Amino acid sequence: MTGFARYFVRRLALMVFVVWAILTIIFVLFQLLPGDPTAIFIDANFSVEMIERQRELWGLNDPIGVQYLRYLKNMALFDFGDSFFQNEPVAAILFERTINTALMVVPALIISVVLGTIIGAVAGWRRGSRFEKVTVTTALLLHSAPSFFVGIIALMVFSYELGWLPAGGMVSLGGPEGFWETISSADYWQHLLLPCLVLVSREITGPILLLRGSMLDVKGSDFIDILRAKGLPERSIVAHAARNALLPLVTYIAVMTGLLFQGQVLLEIIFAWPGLGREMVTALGDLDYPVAQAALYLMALVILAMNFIADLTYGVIDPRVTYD
Amino acid sequence: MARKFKNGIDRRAALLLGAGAAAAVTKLGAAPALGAEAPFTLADPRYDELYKRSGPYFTNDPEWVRWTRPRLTWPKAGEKVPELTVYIANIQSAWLDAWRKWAADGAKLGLKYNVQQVSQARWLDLIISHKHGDIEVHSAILRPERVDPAEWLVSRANGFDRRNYGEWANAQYDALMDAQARESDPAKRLKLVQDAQAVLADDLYIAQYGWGPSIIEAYNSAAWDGVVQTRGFGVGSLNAFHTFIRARPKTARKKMVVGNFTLLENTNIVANGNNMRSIGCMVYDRLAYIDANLKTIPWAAESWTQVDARTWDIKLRPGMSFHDGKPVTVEDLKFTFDYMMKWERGNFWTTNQFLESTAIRDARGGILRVVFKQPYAQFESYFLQLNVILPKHIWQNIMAEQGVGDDPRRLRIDRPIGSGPFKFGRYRKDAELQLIADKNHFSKPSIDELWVVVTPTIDGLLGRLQSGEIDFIESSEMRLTPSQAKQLEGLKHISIVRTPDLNWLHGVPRISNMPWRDYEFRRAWHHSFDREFLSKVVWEGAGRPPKSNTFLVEGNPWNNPNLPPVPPFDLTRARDILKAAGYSWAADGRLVYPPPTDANFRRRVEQVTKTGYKWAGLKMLG
Repeated sequence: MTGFARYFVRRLALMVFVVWAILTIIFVLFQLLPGDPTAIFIDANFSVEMIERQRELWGLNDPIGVQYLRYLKNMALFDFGDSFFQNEPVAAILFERTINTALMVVPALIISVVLGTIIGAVAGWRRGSRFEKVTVTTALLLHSAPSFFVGIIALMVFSYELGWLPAGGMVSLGGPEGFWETISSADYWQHLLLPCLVLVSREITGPILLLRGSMLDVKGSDFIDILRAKGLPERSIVAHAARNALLPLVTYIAVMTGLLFQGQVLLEIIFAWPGLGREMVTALGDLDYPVAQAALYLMALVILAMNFIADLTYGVIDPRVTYD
Repeated sequence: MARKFKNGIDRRAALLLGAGAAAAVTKLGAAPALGAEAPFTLADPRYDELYKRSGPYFTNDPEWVRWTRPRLTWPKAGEKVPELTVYIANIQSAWLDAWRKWAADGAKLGLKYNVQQVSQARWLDLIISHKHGDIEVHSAILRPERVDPAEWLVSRANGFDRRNYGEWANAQYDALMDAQARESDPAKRLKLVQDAQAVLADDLYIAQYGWGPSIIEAYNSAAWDGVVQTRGFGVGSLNAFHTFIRARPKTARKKMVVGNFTLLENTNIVANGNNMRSIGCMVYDRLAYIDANLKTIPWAAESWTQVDARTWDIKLRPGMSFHDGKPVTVEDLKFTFDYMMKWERGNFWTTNQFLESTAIRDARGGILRVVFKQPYAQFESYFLQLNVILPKHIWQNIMAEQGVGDDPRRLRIDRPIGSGPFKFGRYRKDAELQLIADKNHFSKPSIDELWVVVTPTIDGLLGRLQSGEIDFIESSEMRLTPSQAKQLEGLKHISIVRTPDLNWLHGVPRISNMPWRDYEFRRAWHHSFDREFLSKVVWEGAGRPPKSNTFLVEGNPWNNPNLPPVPPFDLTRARDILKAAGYSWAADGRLVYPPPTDANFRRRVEQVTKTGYKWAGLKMLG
């Protein structure tokens, strides 16, 4: 077995262990939550018989150990059961919501990474210039501004007052349905513009500041002097420097992707975007255990998977990293 | 990372995990043994059924027992009145604002309040399981069937009802409740209801804090004319949907848009989702409805005739059809009642549990006879309001087809088909719902389409109204404060309307427990509320200080106008009452119970009710 294969297996095994730990923590946390999940579903008018039957149906009367084992098995098989309230399989609900979140997050992620990388690289290369000063100051300002605050201001100005952009939702009333119809419609892009820009305004600051710092490190390397001594034009030298400076960004992108999928609850609420975060918060408020548990589990899986990919990719793209 | 894995899980994480798991197991595991101490007894054994055989509640609930036992134990000499717990749902910021002031005022009287904010789900759970501390704080949310007086008088105050969260058991009141439930003569029933309100107010059970908040709404008057203000509901209510039927477009746009915080949990009307109760009744026809003055009006039932105290003949409106084109027949009506009696144990059960049998009297004339198990006063104002007509051809085999056993709440009804004024149109969960006007309906809407669009924030709703994206804000979930209304007043396309309300905010003390069992304590406590602070400050003037302690506020057709006034805010008077009743104050200012040797105090605590009434509920232990 090669060094990489051994590392891969070890890393995978560790991930399985972490998944189990996360599942257990989620289970314990939900058991510790005060309140009875039947409470919000059951009207005070209901008969005692009805309440008892509902608890039985949801398996809440089973011993805790039985509930735990059943939960582990179901989660491992991605069988999330049915939502307590929506009469629908949890998997279907979360799949739809994850797609919706992706429709907001992925464009913002791409724009943030591409633009942020370029701006950060240039700022780092031109250290001390007015461009660098303006870029760093703006990035720090945007990084400090909570996105929900920026979102509310953006809505007030561009939607409520000026009426230039829609005030929320993924599409207009009666707008396109289905994934391809949605993303190929101008209506969706129009609705996406504001939340996407708000998201970009924050997420772009990470790559900018990271690339700037990384470029500063690379700029002082010996190979840059060699490239310069060889008489390469400045643009080529920047390109060489940027390639080397990109390495820390790989990890950052992986982590950022995971966080983006879980961290947009407030934006989804402000922009009435029916995404995963909003669904999870609603499910937690309603004590809809199957939905909330599965949503948390999926979010954890995305982060773990992205970290796993980052760890593996790092070795592939940086020849200095070995596994022996 | 690999090294860490080899060495096993981080010890701190393992300890935390273990501790959490242990706590969870403790929480859900072995319940403490019950019954080792003095048993709970009822002053009237007829109430045993509720307390001792009520499923997982009351004496069968270890947590309820843990809370109640010390409160039914005689206080020792010098014992302070315990900390009084109040839970407030975290979405109710107005309640919290008011309670901050009231708790501070209470402290001047020697009362220590523990006001806690909890999630809405937790709050509901605590209330339903009677573990909500000392005072149940609640507001009224009106629905058409709640215009019936029994909805509040029975559910919140009848000693035999599990939803009587203060566990008040006044024998005279309960007898009046029983009598009104069987009295189908409206005039005689009104008298009984008014008498019951008098007992409720006289015995100082509930404490009305404020009548309101007022129903203030804003709507797009540049686009719509002819809105209907329904008393207690407003203009933009899905529960009282007259506006959505009668409003006329001022422009070429015949598509009306209503903004709401939430939409539907699911689309099965039997599954008891809150919004599906209201929206469902726009898709399925109810049998009777309310007009703008809350008077019962015929809807799918053209008329009804009382045969005797237990029997009615319901005549179906002729010429109705379901949205799939099939005619609505008396067979559908009979099927619906039979179906509900057989399967449904939720929302519809609250009325259909009293139904004994149904029989078609005249198929061609569309007449169905319904017989109740006992004389049933709520026929018009509850039974006909709550029940809808399900299409037999869709629902008759649906339980078996979908394999849901005996639970109709698990049914998936992706596209509800009813006979109501609106057809269920396009639906995107948590985003939008289209309701298409049925132009063949006997009460056909003027508009072509009604859209309900989800906007989860107050700012979002106001902003969308301002930008013209929505025409109305659904008024059951959100009403404007005066300052919000003022913010919108300058907009040309917006009109602000105020509709008389029937709302209230009240507190229900756990009257079967100490210190509430002492009528004199209650009398003093009622003087400790600055109710004007709620109506003038918290509600910004959009509310009324209550005139009396009743659920059926002024403006409600069942209101008793001759009730004693609410005790005024007067801490000095409250202190004097307590002093005269034998209470004293500790060095730290906390209120101290009268000494156990005080015969008057013991008599009052055992009696619970005001002199002249008979207590039927829990007795003190020992």
